[in-house]
Amino acid sequence: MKTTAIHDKRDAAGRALDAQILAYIGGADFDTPIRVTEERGDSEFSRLALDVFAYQFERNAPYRRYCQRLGVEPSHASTWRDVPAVPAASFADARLACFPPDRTALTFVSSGTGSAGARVSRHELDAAELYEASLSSHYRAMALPAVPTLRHVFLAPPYADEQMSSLSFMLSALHERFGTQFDGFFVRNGELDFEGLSAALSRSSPCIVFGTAFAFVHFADRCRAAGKRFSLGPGSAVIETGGFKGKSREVARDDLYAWFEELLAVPPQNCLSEYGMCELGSQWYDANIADLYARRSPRRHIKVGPHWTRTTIVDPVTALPVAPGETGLLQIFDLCNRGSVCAVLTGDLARERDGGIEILGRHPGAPPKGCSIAADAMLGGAGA
Amino acid sequence: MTTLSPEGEARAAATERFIAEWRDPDSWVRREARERLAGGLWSGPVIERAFDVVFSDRADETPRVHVENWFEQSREFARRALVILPGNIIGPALCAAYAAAVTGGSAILKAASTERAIAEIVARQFIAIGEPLAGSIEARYWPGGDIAAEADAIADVGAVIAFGTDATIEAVRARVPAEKHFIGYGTRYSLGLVTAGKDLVMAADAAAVDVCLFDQAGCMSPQTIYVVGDASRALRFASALDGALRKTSLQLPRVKPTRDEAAAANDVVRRSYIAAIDANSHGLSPVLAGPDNGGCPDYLIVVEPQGEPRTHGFGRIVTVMPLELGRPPVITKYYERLGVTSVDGDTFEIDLHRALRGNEDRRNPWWVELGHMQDAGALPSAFDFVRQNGDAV
Repeated sequence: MKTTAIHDKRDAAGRALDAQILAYIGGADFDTPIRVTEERGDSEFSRLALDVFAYQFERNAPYRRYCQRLGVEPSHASTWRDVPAVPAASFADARLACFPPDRTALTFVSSGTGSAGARVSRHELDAAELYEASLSSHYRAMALPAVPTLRHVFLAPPYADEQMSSLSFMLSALHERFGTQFDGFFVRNGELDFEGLSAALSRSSPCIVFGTAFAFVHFADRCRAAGKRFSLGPGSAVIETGGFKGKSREVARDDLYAWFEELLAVPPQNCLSEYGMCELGSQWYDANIADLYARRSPRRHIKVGPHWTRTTIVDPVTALPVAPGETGLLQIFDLCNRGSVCAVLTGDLARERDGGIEILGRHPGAPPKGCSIAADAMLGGAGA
Repeated sequence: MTTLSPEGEARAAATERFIAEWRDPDSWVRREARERLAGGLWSGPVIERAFDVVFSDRADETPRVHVENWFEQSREFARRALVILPGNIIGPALCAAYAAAVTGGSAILKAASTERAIAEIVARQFIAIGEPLAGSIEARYWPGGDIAAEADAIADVGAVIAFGTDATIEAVRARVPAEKHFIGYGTRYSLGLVTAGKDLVMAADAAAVDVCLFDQAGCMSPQTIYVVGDASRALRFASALDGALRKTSLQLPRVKPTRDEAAAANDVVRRSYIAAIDANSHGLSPVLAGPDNGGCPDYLIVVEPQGEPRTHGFGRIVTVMPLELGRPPVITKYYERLGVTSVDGDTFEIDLHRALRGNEDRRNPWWVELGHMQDAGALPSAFDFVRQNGDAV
């Protein structure tokens, strides 16, 4: 199933707002990458953000209740910073959508990882246009600044196989927009197709290998078991995303990148990490490839978001902004969440650095307690 | 009066002394435990209350009965077990020692990093009590990830009894050789049930004790309390629970939470603004927060729509849900205990079976009265210390 086949179920108000946001993004011209350093005025962003806040306050009943309980209404907000952010986990607690269920065109889910009773996060969209424009524009700027198309090798299932996965949707959309006829998806039914992947990686043409971190761990294990190494063509890159989620052993990022160099002959400066989640319409990428292309000194492990988003680092206890450079929870304002809630407080720790953000991992939350603590300690802190 | 062999008599007398010392607030074991647990996870009054109730289901003659039923009947099948203890409830260490005593078994008690005192005190207590208990409890501690120390302990026993999340239980199980018996007590939670017609203030007073005793962190804590009736009755119960927690927190205060715990609690507060029912028509708040304690509410009550249990497992956070009997039953995956407003001559079983349904992996719950959910630790049991048919060791 092609991502472009998604039905557009927006009403007139949603379509009108999306048109404004698309114009702000820069249209749908992906042949010319958007310059990530482009200065955009905060006032224009705020105007659009407040329009979307008013729309969401009016149409999204759980969010309206949330804002009212915090004592904030659209008439009180003068900049995007005044818009209340919902915890990302709240997408598992209520249907946070600005349209009725019969207008849902796409639903992305992510499984809860908490204790018993953990719920599944659901993010519903009434159309794919904005989501596709966002993911394509920023990907082009951050991962593919030099050429309009490149061969892609995906270590994840395609959207046709995983229609509730935002990652699979994104990868399929990237394949459709920026890929070639030699692209391939090499995770099917939860299994890594190592033979097919090996054949794809043996081609001489450069490519982008994009996959989940845990799939790369399985790939590395299979390579070592088979005594295989590959030498990807010049200009190739590797993009990893998604953490490990208990699906493989944990591997430090620098170790993972050393494997990419050892097993794929892709140097660390051509390796990126992507940050995204099903609750957000936009993604963040490490800045190093865009920096190289712009002839800047490449920043390592610094993520840059698209200009239609804003980030704030907030204190985990008070949820108030911390001083620049201090560590706190990452709070995001994403205009591409027009159909749900734009302001989202993640559970991830981050700090501002070098004009971007550095993601430092999940906030630990409450310390493990009760009956779980002994066995968790037995696992050296790596337990569930 | 139970008739026991001379060995059984000695064992029963020693076990009675073991229990009596833990019941006596002035005993050396209580004094030492009080001193060593001070400044830790619980306040002094919570510690005292926990020791007061841990053997509350054992009558004076119970050790004799248990010795007759276990030691006299199956002493040749009694075994030595490694018990991997949880870190913030005290019951399992004492229950393991009791079970070893009445069966004739023995135990290595592996303490958690956050609470290393009780196992050690029990081991010394058994030595002080003398034969036949002396030497049958050994306290050990090793830091997380020390697989060699763990393997040494496993080599020394016939069975491993572990407390932990389902995932970590499986991880420990994988390291136990096939010929050893493994018993895992995984992720569990407990529920409350306020039945129809019960006085809501009395029910709230009872529930507040259960909430305060281990700050909702134990598997016997009532994570979600179902109130039979409509949303307005659930809101009225929540209001009563707010008052009860305010009062009970003075008697059973909570220690200041860590910064991480305060952050997690405030995250729940924010989520509650979305998850709570819309209560505009009732004039009662569906989100009730206690006074500030270390940057977060001392307790939090959230009234949510009828649904599956909500488990947070920390911070005196209680979810209250209406339980309307005419609606499809709520599916509860598994609960350790069900605390009900009354277990005698009540209709709670009817309410329960009409409204709550466990799925296939739920075993029979243990029903107790609300207000007594933390009483009487039960696990590990004597059963765990006796080889069963088919067990190699």
